[in-house]
Amino acid sequence: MINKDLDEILREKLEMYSESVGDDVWTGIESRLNKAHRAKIIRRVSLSAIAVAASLLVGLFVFRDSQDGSSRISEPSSIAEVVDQTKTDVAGESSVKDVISMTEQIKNLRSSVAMLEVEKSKESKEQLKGTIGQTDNNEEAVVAVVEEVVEKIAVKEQTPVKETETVEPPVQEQPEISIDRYIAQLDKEEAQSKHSRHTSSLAITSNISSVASEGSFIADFGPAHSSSQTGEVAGSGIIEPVSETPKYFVPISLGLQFKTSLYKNLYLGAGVRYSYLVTQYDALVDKELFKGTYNQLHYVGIPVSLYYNFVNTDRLGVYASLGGAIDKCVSSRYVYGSHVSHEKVKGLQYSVNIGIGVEYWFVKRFGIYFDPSISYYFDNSQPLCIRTSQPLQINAELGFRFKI
Amino acid sequence: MEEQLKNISVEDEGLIAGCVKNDRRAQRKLYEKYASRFFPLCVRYVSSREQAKDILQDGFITVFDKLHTYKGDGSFEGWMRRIFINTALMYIRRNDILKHTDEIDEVPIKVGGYESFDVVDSLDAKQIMQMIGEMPDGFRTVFNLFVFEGFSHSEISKELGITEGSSRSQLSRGRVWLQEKINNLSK
Repeated sequence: MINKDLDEILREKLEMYSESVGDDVWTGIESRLNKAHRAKIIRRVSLSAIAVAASLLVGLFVFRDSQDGSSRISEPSSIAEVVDQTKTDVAGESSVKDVISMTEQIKNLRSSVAMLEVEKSKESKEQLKGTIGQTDNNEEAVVAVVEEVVEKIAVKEQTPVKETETVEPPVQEQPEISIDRYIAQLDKEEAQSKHSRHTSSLAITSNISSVASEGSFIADFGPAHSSSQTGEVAGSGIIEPVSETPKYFVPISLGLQFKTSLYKNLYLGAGVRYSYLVTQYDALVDKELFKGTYNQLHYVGIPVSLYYNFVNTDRLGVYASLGGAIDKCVSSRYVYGSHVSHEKVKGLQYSVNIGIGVEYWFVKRFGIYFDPSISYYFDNSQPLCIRTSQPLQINAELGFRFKI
Repeated sequence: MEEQLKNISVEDEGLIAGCVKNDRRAQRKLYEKYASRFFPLCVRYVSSREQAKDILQDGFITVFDKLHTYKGDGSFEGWMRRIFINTALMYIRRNDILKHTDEIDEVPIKVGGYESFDVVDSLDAKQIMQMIGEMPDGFRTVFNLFVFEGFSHSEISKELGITEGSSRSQLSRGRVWLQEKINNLSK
C-alpha cells in the first residue's frame, strides 16, 4: 500500500469523526469571556477618565486664559473713560443741564461697578481699586456739586426738581452705595461664597511608598499575603521565586485626580493612577535556578477618596482623607539571565487608605499639595511584590492642583 | 453582519451575528455546535485529553475574539479549523513539546510496509485517534499537518521553525511508526 492511499483512508475515517466534550470546557470559556468583558469595561472607563481629565486640563489653560484676558481689558477701560469725562466736566462751570449729564455719568460709573460685581474677579477688582483710587476725590466732589446744585434748583423751581428726581430712579435705588462700599461688599460676598466657588480641582499626582527594612514596624505589621508566586509564562513555563529575602524597589505611582466639593468642607476625589513595582529574587524557571530575576509589575488603578478640610483659607488647606482603590496588573515582565518573559496576572488588587494632607495655593488657581497616608493592600492573590509582602504601606503623595 | 455571507448557513450567520455582539447564548450555541467537531482535531495534536481541552478552550476564545474579522470569503468551518490548528501549534510551541525533535531525527528508519490493506481498512476512527495520540510528539505534529491539514513541508518548516529536511524526516519516521503499530494489530 502506498502512503497516498493510507493518507486517504485515514482522512476519510476521521473526516466526520466527532467526540463529545464535558461542560467544564464551556465553563472555562464563559469565565474567561466574562473576565475579558470586565477588563474591556475597566479599560474603557480608564481611558475615558484619562481623556476627560486631559480635556479638562487643556480646556483650563486654553479657554480660561482667553476669557479672563478679555474681561480685564473691557471693563476697567470703560470706567476710566467715564471718570476722565467726569474730571473734565467738574473742572469747568456747569449748568443745570450739565449737572444732570454728570449725574447720568455717575450712574454709568456705578452701573459699571455693578457689572464688575457679576464678574467678581479679584484681579479685576484690584485694577478697579487702582483706577478709582486716583479719582475717588473727584467722584466725591462731583457728588457734592450735584447735591448742591439740585438743592438750589429745588428751592427756586419746585417742578424741575421733581422732574430731576423722577429722571433718576436708578440713583434712588442705590443712593447710599459708594464705590468703596461696593468693593467692601464684594470682599464680604467673596468670603461668604468661598465654599461655593472653585470647589473642583484637577491634580497631577506622584506617589512613592515605603519599603520597610527587615524587622521594622511596617515589615512586622501583620503577615505577608500569599501571592500567586508561580505563573505560566508564555514560552518559559513556570517561574517560581525561591529567595527568602526578595529585594523590593520603591514603588512609584503617577496619576490624575479630579476633586470636587460635596458639602462645605467635605470633598470627593477620584481619578486614575499608574503604579510601577519591581522585585528582585532568585527564581526557578522550569526547575533551573536564575539568580537575581527581576519582576516588573505595571498596575493601573482607580483611587477614590473622601477629604475633610480642617483649614480652608484662600492660600492654605489642611485635611484628612479616607479612601480605597482598585488596581489591575496590566503587565508583568520577568527578566532572568538573558531571557525576558511576560505573565498574565489575573484578578484585581483592592486597598484602603487613610491619611492627612496639606495644600498651598501659590496663585488663585494653582497650588501644590502633599498627602502622607497609610494604605493597606488586601490579599487578592497578586504576584509577589512589596504590596503582598508588606500589605501595610506608608505613602508620600506629592502633586500639583489646578482649580477649575 | 448586515450583508448575507457567501459561504455560510443562515443558522451560522445568526450565531455569528450574536457572537459578535457578545451575546452569551449565541456563543454557547456556536460552542455546542462545533465543540465535538473540533475536539478530535485538538486531541490529535497532543498526548492527553486535558491538554486537548486547554487547546479547545483557547481556540474558542480566539474564535469569539476574531469573529468580527470573518467576512465570509471562505467556509466558516474552514476558518474556524485554521484557528484551532494555529492554537494547537501555539500550545505546542509554548510548552516546548517539540524540544527533542532534532534528537529523534538521528534515530535510523526501519524500512517496512503494511502487511495487509484490510487491517488498515478495518480500523475505526477511535483506534486511529488512539494510535496518533501515542505517536512521539515530533512525528505526530508533522504527520497531522501533512496528512490531515494538507500542509507542504515548506509550510510545516515555517510553522514549526524546523528545516524542510527535518519535516520530511519526521513524516517518514511517523509513517514507519504507524505501520508497525498497525502491523502489530493484525498479529
